[in-house]
Amino acid sequence: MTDTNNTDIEIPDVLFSEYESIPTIAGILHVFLDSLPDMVETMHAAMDGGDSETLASLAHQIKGAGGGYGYPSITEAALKLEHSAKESDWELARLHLVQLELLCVSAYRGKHAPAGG
Amino acid sequence: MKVLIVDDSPVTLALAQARLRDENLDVLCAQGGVEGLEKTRKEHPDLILLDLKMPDLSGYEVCERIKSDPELGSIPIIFLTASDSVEDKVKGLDMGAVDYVAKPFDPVELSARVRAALRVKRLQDLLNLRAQLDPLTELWNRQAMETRLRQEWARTSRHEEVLAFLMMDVDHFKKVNDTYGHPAGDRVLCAMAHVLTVQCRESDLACRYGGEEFAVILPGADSHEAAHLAERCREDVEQLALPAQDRVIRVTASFGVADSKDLVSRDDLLHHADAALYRAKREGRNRVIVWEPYIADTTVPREVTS
Ligand SMILES: [Mg+2]
Repeated sequence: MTDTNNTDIEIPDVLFSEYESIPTIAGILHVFLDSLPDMVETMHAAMDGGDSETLASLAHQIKGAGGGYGYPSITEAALKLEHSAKESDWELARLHLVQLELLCVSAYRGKHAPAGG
Repeated sequence: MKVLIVDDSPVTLALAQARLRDENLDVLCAQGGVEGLEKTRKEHPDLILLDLKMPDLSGYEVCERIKSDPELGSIPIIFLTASDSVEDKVKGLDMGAVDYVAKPFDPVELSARVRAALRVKRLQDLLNLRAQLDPLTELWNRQAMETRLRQEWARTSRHEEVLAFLMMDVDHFKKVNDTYGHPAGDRVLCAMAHVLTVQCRESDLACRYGGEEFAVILPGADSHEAAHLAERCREDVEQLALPAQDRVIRVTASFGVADSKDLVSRDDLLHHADAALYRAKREGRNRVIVWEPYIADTTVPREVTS
């Protein structure tokens, strides 16, 4: 276990997309955000079932999308989860999944925050 | 130009599509490898953005099938990969991909790489087109004609349609060259090409078959219709008056036509048109002959024609 695998990701209460000001991206943020709850749920199920392959594969998908939608911290968290899942380090994977989920919730809040900032 | 994005994730498809929105491109999406392959075959895109990791058919497999298909092999492919492994990237490039873009996309990188790949594609298309044209007349050259005939023959057979083939040869062309010089001969050939271009339908393919010989593929036409076209061309050629050295060059041309009815091989189509052309020469030139079975018995080697 290295330092970068630890709890060094900052999780803000509200997370905004870096591309919020680009209309073409702002207009499709919901495509990404709305896909997250199901993904997170499936990842929890995979973890409970000891299915590291599905877990890593879903993390891989989120990793590939997050930064592109302006959420680099989500990509970063997903990358860590992909690694820990691939190594079947369940304890670490559980931590990474929680971090990822919290970031997703913050991003969701950012999109639906009353006064965007 | 047409760009196809292939990715198993709708989230990535939506993003890539949004990123390319300002590029003035026709952007198509396919969710997964199977659909990607289907759309590639149907749409013939100018560029494919291809995800590596897809559950139904991986990007490698899709790439392999596209690259081994002679009709699709020249379509450039850019791999999209969320993998940071150098091995994956090298493998993709080794398989014939022109580039890769790392996921998540950098805001400007994706469109910049797409623009670069399309610039190269446009250049390749242009060179490819030039290689298929006869430089003097700018009609299709013989090689391109043979390729098109093969395709049209296959299409026609599949749909049980008919296909006609026309051959035209300038009468006594050698005399034109000997009397007025080769530059004048070239002008005659260009005038011939112009006559064909004016008279042909949009769907016909006129080509320079070699020397002073021309050919036209007429998809969907029988020899009767092809003979009408040939007759119009014959009249136009007869009316040509090309000034040269205070004199006027006048030429005529002979025509042979045939169609694909009851034929099993496209070589027979060419032989029939050729035999009819030979017959036109023998009967006194400046005429159109439609292939009939009786002509088969009178064929002699081509070298005799002029
Ligand atoms: Mg994928």
